[in-house]
Amino acid sequence: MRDGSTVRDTSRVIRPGGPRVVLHYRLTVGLDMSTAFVIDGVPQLNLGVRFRSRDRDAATRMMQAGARLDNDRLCDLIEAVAQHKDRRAFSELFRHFAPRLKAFGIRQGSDAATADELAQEAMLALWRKAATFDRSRASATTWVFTIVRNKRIDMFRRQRHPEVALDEAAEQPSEEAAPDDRLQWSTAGDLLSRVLATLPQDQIVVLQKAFYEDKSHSVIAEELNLPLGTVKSRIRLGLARLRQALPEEQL
Amino acid sequence: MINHHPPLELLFDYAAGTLPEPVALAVATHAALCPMCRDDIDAAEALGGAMLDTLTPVPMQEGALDAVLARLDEPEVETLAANSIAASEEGAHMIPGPLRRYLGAVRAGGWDSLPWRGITRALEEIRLPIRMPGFKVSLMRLAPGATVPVHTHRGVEYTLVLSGGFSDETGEYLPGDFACKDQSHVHRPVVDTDEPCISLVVLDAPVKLTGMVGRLVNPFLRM
Ligand SMILES: [Zn+2]
Repeated sequence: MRDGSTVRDTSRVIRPGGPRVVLHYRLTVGLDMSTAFVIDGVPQLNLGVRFRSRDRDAATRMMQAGARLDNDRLCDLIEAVAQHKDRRAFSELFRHFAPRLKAFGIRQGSDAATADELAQEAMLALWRKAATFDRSRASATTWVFTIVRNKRIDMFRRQRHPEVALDEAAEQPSEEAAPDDRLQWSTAGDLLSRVLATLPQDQIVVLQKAFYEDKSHSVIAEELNLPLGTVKSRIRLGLARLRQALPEEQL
Repeated sequence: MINHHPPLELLFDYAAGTLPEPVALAVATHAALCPMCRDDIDAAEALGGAMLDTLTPVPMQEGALDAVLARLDEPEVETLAANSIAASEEGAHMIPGPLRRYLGAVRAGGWDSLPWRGITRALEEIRLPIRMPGFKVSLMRLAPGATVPVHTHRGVEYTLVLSGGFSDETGEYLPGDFACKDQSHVHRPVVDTDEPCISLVVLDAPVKLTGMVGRLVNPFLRM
């Protein structure tokens, strides 16, 4: 909440029949009006967006914001940004991803304001790089992960993350792996989340330290006071487990 | 046919974004040449996406979306573009993309057009513009028949062959092959191809010589 702002709260039930959805308006005078959803007494999201009460679709859109969008929808939105510079699509992507990216920053040890900045910068990068997204190669969330990863490296380490674009990878003909042999990581998002939940705790800890705490496998070994070989084998086991799970569940 | 790949945990660190830039460059350049490792990276990045998905969203500050919407038309400040060259430029296509962005103008003739600097009669070098304390990042070109003086490493030496090849105690290295040597290796590579051997070499700590010979000519000492 901003200091010195005047706040007026009104609440109303949008759909008395269904779940009890209460829309809170908070008017910050001279700046904007933000909204928050409360469904069955549980706050869902606080959206720092301009909200016009005459916009009949707004409430519906707001409700969707709290829900998870599926991968196809997210891919469509990213492509709309890439092809038409579609700001509505971008806003929807923002509502879905920004709070997750902020959580990512906080999980990595940033304070809320810095994590917010990381999320905003990553969303700006999403806008600019949307044309590089290829839904056949990665899920929307995986692609956004690589964006926030690179932005984190840029912001906090002042380094770059050298990328391998697909066309570059294809430049050098190789007899080893035809494109068809590639596993379909692009559609594996939900599956991976489920497999992730079944991994043993010792593997999860290693993965969390790598992805959330920005630590390489050798640093993780030091921190956990484990032999390097143990950490390496946990990484290998974790990835192998995902690979094993993938083809079976996709059939 | 690529026979020597980065260890899986290095690909994993690359995907998680925890590698220092010079090492990440060596891994990315290998992956540009190696679909197998590219797939391992895809897998690890998909894992990163799944981990992002398991986090509980945290509401953004008020006005955050408007703030970003207002910035969408700002021109992008792109530091990387300054060094980059068009992929279509003649002679550039033989240089893998991730590496290309760190080189100046590449003219017709590809590797030969680069500003090589003679270190010895058999060795030329180009330092890449990555300034990181403790790291040295170079392209090295060794003449056919050349040997690098015997040395061991205090840190780790990453070598990615880009053209030609060399052999050492651990085998034969040809374009695309990735070598990763640490303290446990005593290392004596020999260029045994007919053409010069061009490699991307990343050193993450000074190298100590095992013999006196080569102290003056050993490029690995010049940090
Ligand atoms: Zn490989």
